[in-house]
Amino acid sequence: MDDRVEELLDKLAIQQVMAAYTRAVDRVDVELMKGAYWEDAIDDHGVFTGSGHDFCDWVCARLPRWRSTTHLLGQMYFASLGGGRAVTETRFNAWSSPHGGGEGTIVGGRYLDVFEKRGQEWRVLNRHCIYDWSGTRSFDGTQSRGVEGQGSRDDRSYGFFAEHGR
Amino acid sequence: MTDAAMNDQIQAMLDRSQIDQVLARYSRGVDRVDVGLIRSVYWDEAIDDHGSFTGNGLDFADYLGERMPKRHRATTHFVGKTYFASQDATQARTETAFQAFSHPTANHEGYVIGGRYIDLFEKRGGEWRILHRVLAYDWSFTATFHEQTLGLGVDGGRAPDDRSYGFFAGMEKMAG
Repeated sequence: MDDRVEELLDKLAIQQVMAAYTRAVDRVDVELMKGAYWEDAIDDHGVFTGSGHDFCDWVCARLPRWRSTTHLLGQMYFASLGGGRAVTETRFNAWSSPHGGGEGTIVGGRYLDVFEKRGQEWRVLNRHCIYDWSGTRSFDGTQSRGVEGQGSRDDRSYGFFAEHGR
Repeated sequence: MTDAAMNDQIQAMLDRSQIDQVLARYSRGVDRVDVGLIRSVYWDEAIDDHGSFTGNGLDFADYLGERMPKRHRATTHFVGKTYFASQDATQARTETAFQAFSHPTANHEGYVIGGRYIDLFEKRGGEWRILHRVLAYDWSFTATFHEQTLGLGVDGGRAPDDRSYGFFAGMEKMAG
């Protein structure tokens, strides 16, 4: 394959791993989250340091204390890409809204990642989470005019994807 | 599709990917106060009309390097998707939405700004950089930041102390 095309496909694949990871966190989907890490991956998340898969179990046990979270991903900086490895920095803003409304948090930070390609698949091999700032925000529920998001398989997206699946 | 047409499309995607990386480099440069990285996004004669500063892009980079640490404890320039208004082999006109979060040095009453980078990119010798930038400011609001970040883990910093510099240095050798 043309090297240039391979680079583009690798970047797209890596971006999808990031998207799957944040979807998994916000939907509290531990299986989807584990799919973002190799089995021997290490995640230094500050609050938790250890195996990536253990982090998934740990964080999914704690996430339901929030009514909902949104991990919004920004630009991805590729420090290096080649030889089956990518080293990246990805911005995130994490919004956490409490049950029943009230004081929640917003955190600005970055995921520093080493991705490794095994076979045709990219996953995280090593992650460091960096925290740049945080603040308290007042949340007043979802102001919902329709379907409300859920941190579980009850979220509408699961039904939607199943309905339109092949 | 002919091979030539396919090749042109692949090249256009690569060009977009490179422009995407220039935008990521700019934000990283500003937030880490890495003047070398900020300068690397502009051609020598580039003009940046940033409102608060209008002039040469390289001069703007130096101005930021001087000003950022005085005014801001921490910033995040969070960038959304880039709209390509037009693109050919050597120039691209783009609009990229951003949200800028600033935790000030003086106190904890900061702000969030929503705006757009409106850019003319030019490709020279295989490399894309900004030739002309105009900043559009759409909205802002004040925001109170925590005195200390939540204490969840490693706190962010600036060049060369931020954790990312060590992380990238070690891993780039592994990648090599």
